[in-house]
Amino acid sequence: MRLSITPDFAALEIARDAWSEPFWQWGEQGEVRMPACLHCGAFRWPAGPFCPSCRTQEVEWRPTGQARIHTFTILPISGEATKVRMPTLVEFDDAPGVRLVSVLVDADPDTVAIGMPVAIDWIAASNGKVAVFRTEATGDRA
Amino acid sequence: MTEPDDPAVFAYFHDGHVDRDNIAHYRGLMRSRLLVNRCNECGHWIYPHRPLCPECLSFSVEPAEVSGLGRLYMWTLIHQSRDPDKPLATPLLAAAIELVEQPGLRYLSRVVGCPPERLRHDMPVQLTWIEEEGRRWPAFTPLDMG
Amino acid sequence: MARNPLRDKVAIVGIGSTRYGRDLGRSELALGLEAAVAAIRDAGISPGEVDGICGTGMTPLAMGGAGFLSLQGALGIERCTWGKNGWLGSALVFTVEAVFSGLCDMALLVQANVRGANMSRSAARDPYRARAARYADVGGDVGLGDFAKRWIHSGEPYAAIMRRYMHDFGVGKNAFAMMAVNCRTQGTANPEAILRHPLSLADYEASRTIWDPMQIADMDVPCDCAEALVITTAERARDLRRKPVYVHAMSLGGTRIGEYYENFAGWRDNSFQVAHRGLWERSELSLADIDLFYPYDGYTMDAVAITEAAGYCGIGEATDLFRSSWDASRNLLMLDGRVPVMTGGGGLSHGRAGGANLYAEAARQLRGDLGERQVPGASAALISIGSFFHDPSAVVLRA
Repeated sequence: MRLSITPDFAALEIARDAWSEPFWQWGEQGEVRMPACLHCGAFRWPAGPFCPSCRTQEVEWRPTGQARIHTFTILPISGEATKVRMPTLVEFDDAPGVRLVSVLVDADPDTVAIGMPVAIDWIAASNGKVAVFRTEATGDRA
Repeated sequence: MTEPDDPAVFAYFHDGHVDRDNIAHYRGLMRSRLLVNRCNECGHWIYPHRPLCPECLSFSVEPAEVSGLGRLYMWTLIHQSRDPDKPLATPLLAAAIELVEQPGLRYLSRVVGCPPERLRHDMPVQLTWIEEEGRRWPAFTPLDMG
Repeated sequence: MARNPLRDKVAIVGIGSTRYGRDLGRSELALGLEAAVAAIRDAGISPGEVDGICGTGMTPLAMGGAGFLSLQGALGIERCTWGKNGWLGSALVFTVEAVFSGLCDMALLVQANVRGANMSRSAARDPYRARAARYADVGGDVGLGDFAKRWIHSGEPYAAIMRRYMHDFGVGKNAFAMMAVNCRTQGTANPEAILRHPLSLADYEASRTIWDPMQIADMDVPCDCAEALVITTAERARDLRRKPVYVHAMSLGGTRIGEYYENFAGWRDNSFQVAHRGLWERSELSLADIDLFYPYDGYTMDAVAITEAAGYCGIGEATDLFRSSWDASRNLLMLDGRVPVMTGGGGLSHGRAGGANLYAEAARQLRGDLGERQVPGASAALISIGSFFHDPSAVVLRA
């Protein structure tokens, strides 16, 4: 059986900026929140200064609900027969239009499918925590 | 003296932008020879190190040794390196030397052995070699003081 | 209809190509210069007549490459009133727009490519490629585990997009396989193609998986090569030795996704869709007038999505289109029973030129230059080059 690895994020410096800062701060608390426009409600991601739909600046950082796999790929690792990397893009039930990219960890690639619910885990990087995805949990982590 | 092979040139100039068009020049520096590309068809000297003769569009271009004689076309005195925390103890004299081989053929180098206040535009200079942190570099020095 | 004042006002009048090889042992600049000199000679002009240059890349001062400044200096061109760098499909669009606007009259477009140091083990051992990568303007280190960054300058997301395509439209890999096999078959007629041995559908299926589900047969061939075009006004073109190939209409295609690959805009709003909508709003010729089709094939996923965006079929319907267009005796696609796809073999067979070889091949076909692989009577070509995210172009050239 093949299993997807957890990359070493220890030396990774996250590019935090004014617009994405709350994302990383919610992440420190183990929660995914995404910016929704206070005027029209549209989510914007990547975080930025203006709503791409109505150009409003103000946002509210809302919970995003269940994450599901939008698509993924499986990358072999040189010299490793049983380990792969799985870059994965997820969507959220309660944050339409948002897609978050990271890696699916500890997963058997042969059992992974588009639409599958995933849980979010947060792993330490040099200046914050990075979200990664896991398949086993149901996603109702409070 | 054998020619240094490609890996030796890459190792010696580990921090430089060595490429296929300039490696012969860098190889020459390791043997204290200053090489500039020259067109085999029309004799035109080509600098910077490029593989095409702009005069006759010939790709038959070969590095050839220059006499090392020229004139000081222009210069600047560098007091501070790119890192502002590293001021230079002795200012560096960076110069464009117009070589006698061809009008407009200007090699970018250093001037040594001359106090800055004695520099003059178009003063005659000649090639010399300096050692710096274990590496050998071409430099130019005033002809009448050489 | 959108405005199209440049219709047939600008023409390709010179074409120059280098050989294509895995390792030609030349710098990017040397390759670019060889193509440039060939294009200038083909046009029958002197270098001094060139007054605008579009070089290769994204950064004007990138060192060691075939940027417009290096090209002008090395070619000894005294005066240019326009210069810019570009790549993929947009480079030709920029050059045509410069000639049309009057910023220059005789433009030289040069696209040089060297196989990157990260493209194979042998490339990684080549000290020249390694040293050049340090000075390259895009790419290099894509950053540890930071996949948001990694997916900006990498092909990996295309594999995920391919998987999503198969999921959304309930199809297998038949369309990708037929595109790969078609391009290889076309390439067997091109003496300069790097991969000239025939590829069958079974060979495709058996090819190595690189980024699951993408296989090596889905990916273009990294190589050393360069292409150059001389582009001028239609008036000036009439006095030159070569039969002009006119730019009939063109469009770029930006989306609100910007450079964020992971936030793929979807099948209806990606760059290919925008570029083709822009093209057909401007072109007087329609798809029915097109005799030759060149959908960029950096990955087969690109070429499939471009075929759909061009309007040959609906979104997600390429599998059925290709099945009905497949000549099984020759392993070739003939759209509508008459339009060949990617004569010359494209990136999948001829070699990775960022699409520049598609423009050159189309222009040569429209001049009637190609001997054995000439498509008789071809008078209009659709060339679409770029990615789902950046630099997409859709261009109609006509004889």
